[in-house]
Amino acid sequence: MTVWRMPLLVWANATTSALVVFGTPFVAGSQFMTLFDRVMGTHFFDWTAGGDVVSYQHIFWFYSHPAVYIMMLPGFGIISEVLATFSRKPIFGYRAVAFSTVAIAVLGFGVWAHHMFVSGMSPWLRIPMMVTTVIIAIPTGVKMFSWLATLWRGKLHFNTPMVWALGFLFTFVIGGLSGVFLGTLPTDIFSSDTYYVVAHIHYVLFGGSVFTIFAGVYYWFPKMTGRMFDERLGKWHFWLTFVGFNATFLPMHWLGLQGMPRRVADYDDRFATWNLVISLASILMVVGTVIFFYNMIVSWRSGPRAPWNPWRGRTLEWLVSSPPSIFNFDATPQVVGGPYQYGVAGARHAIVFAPEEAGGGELTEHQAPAILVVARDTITGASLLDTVRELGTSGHWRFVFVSPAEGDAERTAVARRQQLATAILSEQAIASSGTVVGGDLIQSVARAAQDEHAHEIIIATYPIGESEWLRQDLVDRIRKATGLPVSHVTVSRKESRGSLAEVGLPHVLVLADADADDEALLAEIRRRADRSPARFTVVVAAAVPSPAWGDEANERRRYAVEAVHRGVEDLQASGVSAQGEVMDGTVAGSAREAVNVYRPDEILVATRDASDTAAVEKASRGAVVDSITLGGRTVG
Amino acid sequence: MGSHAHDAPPATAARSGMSRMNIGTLGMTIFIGSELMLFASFFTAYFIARSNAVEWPPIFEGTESFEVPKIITGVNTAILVFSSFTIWWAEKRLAAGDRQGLIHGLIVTIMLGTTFLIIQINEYIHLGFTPQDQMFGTIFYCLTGLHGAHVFIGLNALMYSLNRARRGEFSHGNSGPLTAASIYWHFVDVVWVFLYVVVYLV
Repeated sequence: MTVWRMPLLVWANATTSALVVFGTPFVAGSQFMTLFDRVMGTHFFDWTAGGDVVSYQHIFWFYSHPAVYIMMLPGFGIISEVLATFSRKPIFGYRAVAFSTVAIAVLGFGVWAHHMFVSGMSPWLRIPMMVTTVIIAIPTGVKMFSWLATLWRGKLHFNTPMVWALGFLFTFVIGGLSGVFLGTLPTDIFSSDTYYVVAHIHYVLFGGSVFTIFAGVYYWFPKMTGRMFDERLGKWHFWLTFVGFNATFLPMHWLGLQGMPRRVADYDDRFATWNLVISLASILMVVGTVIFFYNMIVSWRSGPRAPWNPWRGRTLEWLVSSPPSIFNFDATPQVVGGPYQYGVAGARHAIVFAPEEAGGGELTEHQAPAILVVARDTITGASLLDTVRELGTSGHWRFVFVSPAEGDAERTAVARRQQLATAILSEQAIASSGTVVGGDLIQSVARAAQDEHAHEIIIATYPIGESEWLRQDLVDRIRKATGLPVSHVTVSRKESRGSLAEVGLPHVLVLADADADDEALLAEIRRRADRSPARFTVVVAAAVPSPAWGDEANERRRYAVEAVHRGVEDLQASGVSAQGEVMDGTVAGSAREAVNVYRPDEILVATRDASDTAAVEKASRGAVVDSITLGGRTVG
Repeated sequence: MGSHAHDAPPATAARSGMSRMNIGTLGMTIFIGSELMLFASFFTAYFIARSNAVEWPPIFEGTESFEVPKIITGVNTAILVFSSFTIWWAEKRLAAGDRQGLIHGLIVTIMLGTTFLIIQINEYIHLGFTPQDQMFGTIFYCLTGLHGAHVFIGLNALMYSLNRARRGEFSHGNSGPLTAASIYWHFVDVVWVFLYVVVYLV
């Protein structure tokens, strides 16, 4: 771990610790002085004996303003973690956010007297303190804009921690802006000791700090307890608190500006209506808090088991079990990259090592904990592969595809898809294997989970309504049968059947002058697919009768296109990733254009006439050219 | 990674300077930062009171006066500064492999520090004012008393180090507690020089 690979929460907590170490002695000093004055009869704050009352405020606030950052900076750290994880994007301006944390801490020591503008302190100190106070808005703004830029065009997941983080952004901006008003001398003198100040402190401390604490509690609850909380109750908690909070504290701005003083038990009649609204609105927060405690207690006792990494986070805590075992890691993990490289292919945050007794070294494939992936038609779906890839690059896992199949044809098709997925994942050094099972799926999964010592299970299905598995309630039944954490990925029919454009998967261009549903051609492609995983593009060169715009030519083209549809459908059904196209002319003539468009790694020429091969080789741009002769019917 | 050095990835070498610092020395440095702030809070009270005052030291309302012994305390300051050099010399001896020299250096340092403390207590006895005598008395006793407490703690740290040095537990490169005690002693010394200049001289 180096400082520039530290998660921002660690930056925030380290900075907060520095504030505690260097700030707290001042408040200790002020308390010593008070103690001495009261007990020993000294004269620190006795102006008749040369002491100074205001010096108490100076010494107190010199600590107590940095203390508000002690309350806020860890929250900033939590927000950085949560926003990056649920936006699936690297945090925007990592270094700027880290530096702004330190800047807030350092500047925080130079603004204390803005709490004392009307205390009777030396007037010359007012303007410098106003200036430094407003300057603090800059590093805070850096953070706010970095967070917004992190959200920008991210893949937002609105889980409970995320809605709390977004709620924080909303309320903290309001609190920050009223802070600028209070830091500015003329407006502060006007609104000192009014409810405007009460509104401000609640927007930054409740809407700020407490919201981040809720975000953090929900974010790490699965890690801390090993159980998942109830997402629905979490949302209820958020919305009741969010609405209740704003309804309670927003009116206080107006009350304050109209002159309602703070710290006074009684108030003028004209403030009564708003005060009633405030009191009623605060009940919403009470209800929200009750829901929160209910959710925490019940989920802790009997919530569904949490996977190691429910949010697909990338920092170290997600590399250990939920809850973590004693000592967390068998050996100190090696941090090799940044903590927020979401969506960056091949990026890794840390390497986990095997214990020394086992010989040390990076955990081998066999030792890595297993995740079962239950899927059939959806194995090569992009959503599923992305999920597996993110887990695989963020933690040390091996994946076992468990796919049910009946009959030889289906078995072969499923095995081909598993091979494709394994090949794609191995390109990113993610270990995976596949097994095809028959009979009762739930029993087979339970057996596989036991054999592989699986830690969790991912189930991929078609969307609700299209999925036979969801109709059978398979997700819950597998969860019950295995007792393991189960997560569910939805894959659309289109993406499960689409051609795979994956890095590292060889692209084979099939140039044929036969119709694409030609049995011999399809058999040839399947044979090639079984040799090593690849994706195929079938280009059929259709000899179109002249004139090219004539009805006859169109008829011929339509027939060829339909044949391509049938052929590709057939290949997909047998587990081969394929797409197709029809081009006018001969094989030799189509070769140049097809190579330009598809940039294949391999070309398979399937024609009656071997002389075409030479022409294709000329146009191949370095791709390996192979040829076969088709005996069947030809186009023409 | 322990004994499996060959398995250690090369990135391990790229540690920051911070983590190569002795943990005790690092802790003491941070602690001293915290201590500085405590002194700063009392100096703040001092400077605010002094800037408010028409006259400093103020006119004493009793029979005595706010006079502080500049000369004797000056000599006492020299004693404390000298003790900083003796502990520096003691550490040099250890670096040269001379453990006996280290022990002698520590003993001299402890004796000088004790002398400083005795002279300071003697000064308290003979001063004509008490902590209850106006802000001047309050802040004078609080600042010098706070510092005296630190000298006392420093002496304890030095005696602890002496004890371990006697048992031969320190060697060059393996003297974390000694280094920490020595840094602390230098800090106590520097604070006193500042205090003497501000409270006694200026």
